Amino acid sequence: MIGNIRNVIVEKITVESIHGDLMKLDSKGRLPSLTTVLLQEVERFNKLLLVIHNSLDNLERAIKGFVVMSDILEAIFASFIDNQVPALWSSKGFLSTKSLGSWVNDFRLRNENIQAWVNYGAPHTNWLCGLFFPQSFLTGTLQTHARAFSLPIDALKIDFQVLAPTPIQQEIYDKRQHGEVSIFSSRQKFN
Amino acid sequence: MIPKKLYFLKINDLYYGITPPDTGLVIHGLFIEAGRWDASQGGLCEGRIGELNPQLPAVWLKPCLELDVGSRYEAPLYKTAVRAGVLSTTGHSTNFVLPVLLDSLKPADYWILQGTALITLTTE
Repeated sequence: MIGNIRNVIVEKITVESIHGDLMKLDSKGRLPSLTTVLLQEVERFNKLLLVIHNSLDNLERAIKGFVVMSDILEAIFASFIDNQVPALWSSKGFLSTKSLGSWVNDFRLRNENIQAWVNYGAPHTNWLCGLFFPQSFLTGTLQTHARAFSLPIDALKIDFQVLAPTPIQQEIYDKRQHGEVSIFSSRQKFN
Repeated sequence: MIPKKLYFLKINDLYYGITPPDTGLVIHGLFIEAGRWDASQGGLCEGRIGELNPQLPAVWLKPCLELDVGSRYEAPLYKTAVRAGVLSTTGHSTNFVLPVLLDSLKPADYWILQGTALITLTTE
């Protein structure tokens, strides 16, 4: 059980491999707003990942008898048996009503989504639900627009248009796992 | 050892043919509670029996100066189906995200009585 969770959840989101487009400064030397949003999300992800892996390591040691089984570890163990997300994790984590199994799978999708954003640059369609704090993403969207057209951000509102395709994150995840994603996006036209 | 087969995925194929718009962004992954999206029936329409949380297609967020709500329904978007949160120090709710305007042939009042909302995560 512990090994299973450890296998599907990455150790850490790395930002060393960040895509060049994300760090491109504008004419006034400002970082793109959405990159700020991304980096803050990465920080939140890493905080939760650290808590998860630490508690899994400690729990494993406690089961083997190398350390004392504390109240905290026992609570995590009890949650596992009930197929619940341990309170320690959900307090550091995103809001969710899922049981442990689907929570772990959901978290795996989120990790991959963020790491792909870091590695390949902004996706064509963003998984709003995969963020800890979607509001900051919306503000980032507005700020990008405000900077591009020199408009005051508080005067901007968001209009909506529903498009035809229905992307499913699990499918995007599977496709990305299957092969290398081509780096030629329509943003960087290949002549 | 068999060399790892590399196959290059077309990026447009990966994102269902969605290309980044000139302004704003495209988001996906929202679920509808108490309703269903069918573009051929004018947008939001009544849900089918046995379909608990149908998916909403990708949504293009367009920043604008003047917003015309018209006869659209302002569907609240929540993170979870609990539909309640606490106010955080930043002034945002921990659960509510924003109202999303959805086209429909039925008046907004109808959807208010239905309690139709959007959620980002289903309970499984």
